[in-house]
Amino acid sequence: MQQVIWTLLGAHVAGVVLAAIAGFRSIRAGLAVAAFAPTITAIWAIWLFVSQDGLAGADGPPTSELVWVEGLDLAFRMQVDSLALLMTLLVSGIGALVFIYAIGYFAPDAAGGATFPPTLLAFSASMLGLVWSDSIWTLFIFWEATSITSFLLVGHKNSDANVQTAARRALMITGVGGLVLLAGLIILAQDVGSSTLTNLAAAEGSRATLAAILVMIGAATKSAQVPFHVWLPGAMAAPTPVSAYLHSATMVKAGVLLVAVMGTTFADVQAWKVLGLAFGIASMIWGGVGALRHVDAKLILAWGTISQLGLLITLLALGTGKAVFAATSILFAHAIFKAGLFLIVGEVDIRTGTRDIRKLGGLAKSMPITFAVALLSGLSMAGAPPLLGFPAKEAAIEAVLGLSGWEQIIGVVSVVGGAVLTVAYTTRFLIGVFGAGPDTIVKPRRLAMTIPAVVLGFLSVAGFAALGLVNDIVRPAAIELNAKSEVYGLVRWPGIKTAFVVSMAVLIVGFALGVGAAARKVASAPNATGADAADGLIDGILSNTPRFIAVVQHGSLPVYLATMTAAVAVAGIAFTDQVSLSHLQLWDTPLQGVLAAGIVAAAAAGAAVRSRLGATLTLGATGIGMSGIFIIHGAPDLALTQLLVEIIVVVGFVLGLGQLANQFPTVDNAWRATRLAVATLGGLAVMAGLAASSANPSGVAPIEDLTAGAVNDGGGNNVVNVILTDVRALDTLGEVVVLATVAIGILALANTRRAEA
Amino acid sequence: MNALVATVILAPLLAASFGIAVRHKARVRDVLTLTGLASAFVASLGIFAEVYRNGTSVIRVGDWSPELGIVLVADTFAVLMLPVALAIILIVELFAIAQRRTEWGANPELTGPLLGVLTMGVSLAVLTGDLFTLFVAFELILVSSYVLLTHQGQQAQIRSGMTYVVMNLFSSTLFLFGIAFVYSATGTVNMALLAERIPELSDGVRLGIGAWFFVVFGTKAAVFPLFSWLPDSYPTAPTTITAVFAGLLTKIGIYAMIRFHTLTGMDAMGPVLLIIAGATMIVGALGALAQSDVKRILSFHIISQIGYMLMGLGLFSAAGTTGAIVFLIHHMPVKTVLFLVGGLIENDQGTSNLDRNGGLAARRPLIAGLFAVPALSLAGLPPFSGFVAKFSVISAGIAEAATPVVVMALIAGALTLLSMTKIWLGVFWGSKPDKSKPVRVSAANRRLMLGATGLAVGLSLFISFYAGTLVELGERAATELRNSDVYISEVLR
Repeated sequence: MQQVIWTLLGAHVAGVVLAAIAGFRSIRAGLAVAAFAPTITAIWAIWLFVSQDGLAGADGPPTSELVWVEGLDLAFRMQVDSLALLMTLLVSGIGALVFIYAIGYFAPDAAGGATFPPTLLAFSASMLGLVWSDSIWTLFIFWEATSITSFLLVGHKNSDANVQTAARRALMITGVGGLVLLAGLIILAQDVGSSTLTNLAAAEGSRATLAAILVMIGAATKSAQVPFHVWLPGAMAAPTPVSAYLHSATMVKAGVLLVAVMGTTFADVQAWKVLGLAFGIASMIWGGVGALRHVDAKLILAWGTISQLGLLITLLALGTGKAVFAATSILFAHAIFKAGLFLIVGEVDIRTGTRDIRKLGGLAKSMPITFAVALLSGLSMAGAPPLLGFPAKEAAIEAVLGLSGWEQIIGVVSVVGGAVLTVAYTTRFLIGVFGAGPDTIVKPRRLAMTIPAVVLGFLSVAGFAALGLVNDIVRPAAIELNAKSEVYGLVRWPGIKTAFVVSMAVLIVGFALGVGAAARKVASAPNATGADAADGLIDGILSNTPRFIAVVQHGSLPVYLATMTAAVAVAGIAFTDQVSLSHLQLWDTPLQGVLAAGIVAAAAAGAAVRSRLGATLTLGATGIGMSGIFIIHGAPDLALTQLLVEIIVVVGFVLGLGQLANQFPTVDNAWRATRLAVATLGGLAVMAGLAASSANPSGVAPIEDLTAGAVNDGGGNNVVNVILTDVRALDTLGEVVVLATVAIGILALANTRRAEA
Repeated sequence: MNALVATVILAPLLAASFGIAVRHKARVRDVLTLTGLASAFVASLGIFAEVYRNGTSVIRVGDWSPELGIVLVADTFAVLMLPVALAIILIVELFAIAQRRTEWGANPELTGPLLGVLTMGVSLAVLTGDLFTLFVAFELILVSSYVLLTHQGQQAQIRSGMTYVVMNLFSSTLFLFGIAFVYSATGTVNMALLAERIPELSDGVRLGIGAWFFVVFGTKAAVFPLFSWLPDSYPTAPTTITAVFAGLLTKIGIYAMIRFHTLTGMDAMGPVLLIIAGATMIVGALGALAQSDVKRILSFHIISQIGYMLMGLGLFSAAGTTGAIVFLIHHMPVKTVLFLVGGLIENDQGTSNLDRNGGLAARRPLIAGLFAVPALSLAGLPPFSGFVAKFSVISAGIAEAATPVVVMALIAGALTLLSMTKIWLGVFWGSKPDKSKPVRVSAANRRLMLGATGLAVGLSLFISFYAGTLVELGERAATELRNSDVYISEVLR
C-alpha cells in the first residue's frame, strides 16, 4: 500500500509529459492520453470502497513520506484517510469524466493541444496531492500549485484581453490569499510545534487567534467567499471543462477542506468560528442573490457555487458533529450535481452558440437527454427528493435546528434563507435554459460530451437509491473531522419531523420565487462591480507606481551621490559617541600642517570654481599635497607614484577638456546649499570616524613584526616594497590587473570612437 | 587544496591574459576562455568537496602569519557561494558565444577575457579572509564590469556606465575610509582578528564601523536608498552582461555584508537593518511594477530580493542568517536565467518591451517553460527553491516576532507575483505584435543559447531539488559565522 501513492502520482507526472507530446498532434489526442491517470486513480478509489477491507486493511491507510527540506520540516507527507479517499473519488472520478467530456468540447483542430491537456492533468495531480497531504506544508505546496495551474487554465483563450484580466484577478486574489495562509500556517506550526495534520494539537491563545484569522482568510480566498469571491465569476472565462472541474467540483473546495481539517485545531478559538460564519453566511446569501440576477447560465452556476461554498463554510465553522457530517455530505453531493450542471451548460453553449438564458428556448424538446440530466442534477441541487441532494440538505437543516442560543438563530435563518435562494435560482436556471421561448437552433449531439453528463446525472439518483454506500463514504470522513459525527447518517425518508417540514416549505417558497424571477425580464447583465473594484486596485497599483518610482529613481547622479553621502553622515553619527580629542595631536611636524592647509584650500577651491580647467588643476593640487605627506612619512616610492598619477590625470583631463564646455552647468542656490551641507556632514563623519576609532584601539598594528619580517623573511630593507611585492603580493597582483583592465577599457572605447568616425 | 584555490583565482586570469592576446581568433579565444572558466568551476567543486568533508580550510598566502599577510579562508559559506557563482559565469559565457554575433550580443573580442577578470575578482572576494583583499576584489569586479558595460561605446551605455562607475568608485572610497577606521581601531585587516577585536571596541566605534560598512556593502548590494545606480545601468548592457551582473554583483555585496556583520557581531544593528530591508523589498517590488520592459522589471526585482536577504541578516538569529544564505544561493541562478530568457525574448521580437511583445507561449512554448520555472521560483512559489528561501526567511522573522518586516515581506511577495504576471501577460499571452523584427540567429547558435539557458534552469532546479542539503549547509555556514570563535581559531591556528 505504501507504493500506491507514488505510483499514482508518478502516473500523473508521466501523463503530463505524454499528454504534451500527444497534444502536439491534436488536442483530443492529448486529452485522451491525459484521461488515463485520473481514470486508474478513480478505479483504485472505488475499489477501496467496495472491497471488504477498504482503508481499514491490515496496513492501515496508505501513507508515504518524502522529506524535501529536513531543516525546515518541509516534506511531502501523505496519507490517504477516509476524507482523502472521498476527495480522491471527486478529484479523479470527476476528473476522468471531464477529460472525456473535453474531447467532445474542443474542436479537433483547436489550438493549445500541447499546453491545455498537460496543464489540466497537472492541476489534477496537484489537487490529488492537496487532498492526500498529511502535512500543512505539503498541503500548502499543492495549494499554490493549484492556483498556478488554475491561472494557466483560465487564461486558455488568452488572446482576449478580458480573459487575461480575469486570469490575473484570480491569480492575484488566490495568490495573496496564499501568502496570508502561509503566514498563518507558519504561526500555527511554530505554536503547536508540529506540521502533521493528523492529530494536530489544538491551538489557543493570542497567536492561535492570529493564525486562525489568517488561515480562515486564506481559505476564504480559495473558496471564493465574499468579499474575495470576485475572481470566481471571472474565472468562467475558462473553457467549460475547466469551470466544471476546477471552479465547481474540486479546487474551490480546497478552502473548505482546509477549514474542515483545521476545525479541531481551532475549535477553541472564538475568532475562527465568528470569521467563518461571517464569510459563510455572507457568501451563502450574496451568492444566491447573484445567481438570481445573472443571465449567463454559466455565471448563474458560478454564483450558485459561491453560495454553496458559503453553506459549507458556515456548517464547518459551527463545527458540531452534525454540522460537520452535513457539510461532508453536501460537499460530496455538490461536486456531483454541480459538475453535471456545468457540463450541461458547456454542451448547450457548444450546440447553440450561446449561454444567455434570454436567447435560449425550447431546449427541453430539442435536447431531451440533456434536459433530463439537468433536471436530475438541478433537483438534487435544490434538495428535492428522491435525489442525493435531499438527505444532505436535510442533514444541514437538522444540524442548525439542533444548535442552541444565538448560534441556532443565526444558523437556521441563514441556512434556510440560503436554501430558499438555492431552490429559486435552480428553478430560474432550469426555466431559463430549457423553458419555452423562440426555438434555438441546435447542432448535433457529441457523444463524448453527453456520456459524462449522463453519468453525473445518474449518480445523483443512484446516490439516493444506494444511500447506504454513500453513508459508508461520507460518515468515516466526517468522523475523522469530528468524532461526534459517528452517530449520524443520511436518511432516505426522515418522517414528518421539523426538518422535513422546513425543507418542504423551502422547496415551495423557493420554487415560487424562482418562477417569479424567471418571468422577470432582465435588460442587461448585472455589473461586475466587485470584479471591477479588484481590477481597479490592481490597475491603480500598476499605473501609480511609475510616479512613485520617479521620486526615488530620478536619474540624477548628483542626487544619488548626495544620498550616499547623507547615508555616510548618518552612519558617522555613531562615532560621535566616542569622539575624544585628547589622544590627537596637532601634527608631527609643522610641515604637515602646512601641507594639510594647502590640501584643504585646494579642495575648497575645487568645489568653488566654475571652470572645468580650474577644477582639474585644484584636484591635481590636492594630490600633490598628498605626495608631500607621503614624503614626510618616509615613503618616497609612494610619493613618486602618487605624483605620477596626478600628472597623468591632469594631463589627461586637460587633453579631454577640449571636448567639453569650459564651465560646469549652473545649479540653483538651494541645491548648491544642500550639496554643501551634505558634503560637509559627510566630511565631518569621516573626521569623527578617524578621531573615534583611534581613541581606544582594541589592537595595534604589528609594525615591529612587519619590519622584522620584511628584513628576515622578505629579504628587503624597504618595508613598503616588501609589503607590496611579498607580504601582500596578492593585492598587488589584483591592482595590476585592475590597471590593465582599465587600459583595455580605454582602448576599447577609443576603438569604437574611431570606428564611428 | 592550495592548487585548487590557486586554480580558482588564477585560471580565469590566465585565460583572460592569453585571451586578450589572441582576441582576434574567435575559436581559440572562446576555447581558452571556456577552459579557464571551466577549470575554475571544477576546482571550486573540489574545494567544496574538501570543505564539506573536512571543514574550514585556511591558506596563508606566501606563508605569512595572519597578523601580517593575507589569508584565504574556504569555509562553508564560501564554498556554497563559489561553485554556484562560477557555474553562472560559465553558463553565461556559453550563451554569449552563441549570441555575440547578433546585434544584441556583446563585443566578442573582449567579453570572454573581461569575464575572466570578473571571475578572478569574484573568487577572491568569496575566499578572502582579509578586508583589504576584499577591497581589491571589489575593484577587480568593478573595473571589469564597467568595461563590460561600456566597451561597445553606445551612448546609453556610456551614460549609464557613468552613474555605475561613479557610484561604485565613491563606495570604494568609503570602503577605504572604513578600512582606515578599522585599522586604526584594531591594528589589523584580517577578518578573524577583526572578529576578535571589533566586539572589544566601545559601542560607538563598533556600531560606527558597522554602519559605515553597511553603507559600503549596501551600495554594492543596492539596498534602499543606495540602489539607484542599478536600474539605471543594468538594462542598458547587452543581455548576457546583465545576466552576469544580475546573478553576481549585488550578491557579492550582500555576501560581504553577511560575512562582515555576523562575524563582527553587529547584532545591535538588527532593527535598522530590518527597517531598510522592508523598504528595499517594497521599493524594489513597486519599481518592478512601474516598468514596461522585461529587463527593467527584472532589474528592480534584484533590489526587492536583496531586501529579503537583508531581512534574514537583520534578524541576527541562526534561522535568519540561514535564511539569508539560502536566499542568496537560490537567487543567483534564478536571476541569471531570467535575464537569459530576456535575451531569448529579445532575439525573437527584436525588443524586450512588453508593449511590443505578445503571444510567445503559443509560438515558442519552450521559451515560456524556461521562463516559467525561474519566474515562479523568484515569486517564491513551491516547489521551487524560491519558496524554500522565502519560507526560511519569513518563518525566521515570525519566530523572532519581527511582525512589521514580515508583513512587508508578504506584501512584497504579492507585488512580485503581480509583476511576474505583467511579464507573462505582456510577453507570453495575447497575440503576436504586428511589427516585429526578429534577430537573425543561426540554428546552431539558437540551440546553444537555448541549451545554455536550459543549463541555468537545470542548475536552479538542482538547487530546488537539493534544497534540503542547501538549508543544512546554510545552517552550518550560519553557525560558523555566528560562532566566530571557531572561525577565529581555525584561521589563527
